[in-house]
Amino acid sequence: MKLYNETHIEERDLLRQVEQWQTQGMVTPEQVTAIKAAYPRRFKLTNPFIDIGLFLFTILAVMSAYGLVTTVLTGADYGAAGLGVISLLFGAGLLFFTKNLVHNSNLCRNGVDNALVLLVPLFVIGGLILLFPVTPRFWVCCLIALPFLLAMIWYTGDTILTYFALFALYGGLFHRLLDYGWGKQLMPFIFMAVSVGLYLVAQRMPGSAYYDDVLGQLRWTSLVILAAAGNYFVVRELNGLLAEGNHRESPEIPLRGLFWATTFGIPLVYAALGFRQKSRMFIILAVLGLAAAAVTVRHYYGSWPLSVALAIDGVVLIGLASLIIRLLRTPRYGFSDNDDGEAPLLVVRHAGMLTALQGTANAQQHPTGPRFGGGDFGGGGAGETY
Amino acid sequence: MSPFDVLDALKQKGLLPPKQADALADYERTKPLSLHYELRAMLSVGILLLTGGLGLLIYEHYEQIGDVVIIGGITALCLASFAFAWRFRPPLSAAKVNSTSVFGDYALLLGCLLFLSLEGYVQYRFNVFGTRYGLATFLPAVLFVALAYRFDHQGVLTMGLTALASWVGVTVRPLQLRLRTNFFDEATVWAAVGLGTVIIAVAVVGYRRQIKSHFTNTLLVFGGNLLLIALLAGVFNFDGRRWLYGLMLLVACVGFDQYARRERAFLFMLMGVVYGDIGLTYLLGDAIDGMALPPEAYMLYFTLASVGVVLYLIVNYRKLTRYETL
Repeated sequence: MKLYNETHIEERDLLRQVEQWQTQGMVTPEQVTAIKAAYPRRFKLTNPFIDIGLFLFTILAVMSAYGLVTTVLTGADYGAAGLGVISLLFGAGLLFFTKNLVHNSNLCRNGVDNALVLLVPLFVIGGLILLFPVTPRFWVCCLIALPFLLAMIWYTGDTILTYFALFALYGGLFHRLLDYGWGKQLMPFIFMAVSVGLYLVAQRMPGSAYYDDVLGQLRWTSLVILAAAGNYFVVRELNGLLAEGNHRESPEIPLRGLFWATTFGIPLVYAALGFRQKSRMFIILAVLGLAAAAVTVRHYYGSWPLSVALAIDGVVLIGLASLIIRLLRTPRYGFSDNDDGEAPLLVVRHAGMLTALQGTANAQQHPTGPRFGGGDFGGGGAGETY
Repeated sequence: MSPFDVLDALKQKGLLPPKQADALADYERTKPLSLHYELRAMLSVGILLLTGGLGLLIYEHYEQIGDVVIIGGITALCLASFAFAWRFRPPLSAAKVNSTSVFGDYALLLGCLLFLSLEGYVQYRFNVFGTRYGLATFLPAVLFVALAYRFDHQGVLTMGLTALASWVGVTVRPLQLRLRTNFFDEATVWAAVGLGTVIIAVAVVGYRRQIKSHFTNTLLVFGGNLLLIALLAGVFNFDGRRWLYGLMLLVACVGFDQYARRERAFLFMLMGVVYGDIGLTYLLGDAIDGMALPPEAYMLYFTLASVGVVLYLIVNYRKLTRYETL
């Protein structure tokens, strides 16, 4: 028995799809009315801003309640283990409360339940770790956390917990591999293999409305880590950081040619897949990956100053975007430039506004006096690795 | 749930005739993927990199490049951008209008950013504004706000508002998630309060008279946050007049809450509640300071206050939207 009703979530997705067809004029208003009558809304509707407020204040309320409980109970001083037991009990109680609240109030991702679902595993995992007489090493903590996070993701289909689980997996793996000489050597390959594995898992899972967001996130994250783990800059600099001794410049890595090949190869594969499957995710990742590859080349072989490089990159990007916009005036090759309201990421939708704000801030760094260098230049935006 | 699953379900229940369902399936299979937002994001990032790069370049290398080339080059680029934007300008109107070219809005953005670089450089090299730094930030602010209204450009409006804010001493940097203020100086606090109030007034007038009324939210969010942060800073930093700032904060928060109720714009309810909660908690903490209350009392207060806010938001949201969700 999962936290939310699976059928109700499917029906909600179905209604969203129908509403999209309605705005595109593909179904008649009468049909929409009939469909809405057949699938009534089951969940409480809220507003994104109300959700944000509810999320923040629920976290504040639960943390203060936890503080209240511990200050009242630890008057007798039970030590860390005692605190662990309190946290475990508090987490269990919170889970029970969450279940009842969601069922009685028909909540589904309304801020309150998002916060509660996030806090339950944190109290349980934190409590378990406190039970150890000596705080376990980081990778052991990750190993303890993973099953609880996975169980909770199965139970709720929550996206923030998915990030936590991915962090525990990759972070724990990274920390554990540091213990072995071969682990450091093989790290990029292990990370690439794990990422490919995760992506394939996400692909093979039977599609279900309940886990749509979780699987989507799994795809995005695994592909980003795959490209990063194959990037020459990431591999060489990380290797330099982990190597013993102080080098002014991180030393050359073995299999240099292979990593240069993956630096460009992985984004190129993404581009090919994006073009063939008409996949927005692969196309965005391909562009970001190729930009990162270009920056990597420049980092090791470029002799231009940063300012010139930035200006040239800007011109290239503007040129490319303008060219493609002109090219897609009429849809071609299965792509179009029509605004159909589908932007996957808020950052993408509001890029113009962010540019205006950041550009103003950049330009205003200089005017008032001889302050050279502009040490804290804002960076490249949209996730580029400047 | 894929569109095809939806079609199957609807067909099975007899809610969609099979022929129409097949046509919809065909449409979903063959519709092109829209790269609209991605391409525009790419343009924006390009503009940011270009202006950022040029901005660095001129300060690092002005001795090699020479003033004439720098000023001439940037002026030419800037004028070209403005000329392009003007050529494809939207019609003069108080309603929402669009540039007649896809690139018009971006040319205007580029022109404005280049103008800022140019102005900064001229001040740096030739000290055109002398020590009147205020004028150096006020001038572009006025220019940008005017351009924003003429060209109907929300991005340039934000630039104008940002420039106005830095004119009174507040800088906003979204990429560093940073807000730099000088709110230990009481004059800055009052200047920010004044500017925030003026921006809110402009928003209200524009909304009532239907002059670019789609700017209302941007203006209110910007002016409102400026006003509320400044008042909060007043509560925190100035012992003597703490209660005066607190009272003004309360009035502002209630005002936003009322506006949110009338317009069903819940962002403003959230703003009122968050700033109000922080201010009230601080004032209460200040009042009971030195009374040596046990920690349980504080924890209890935080728990109850937060639960109170949660209930307040839920109850009011339900009350305000009752007729819409049914």
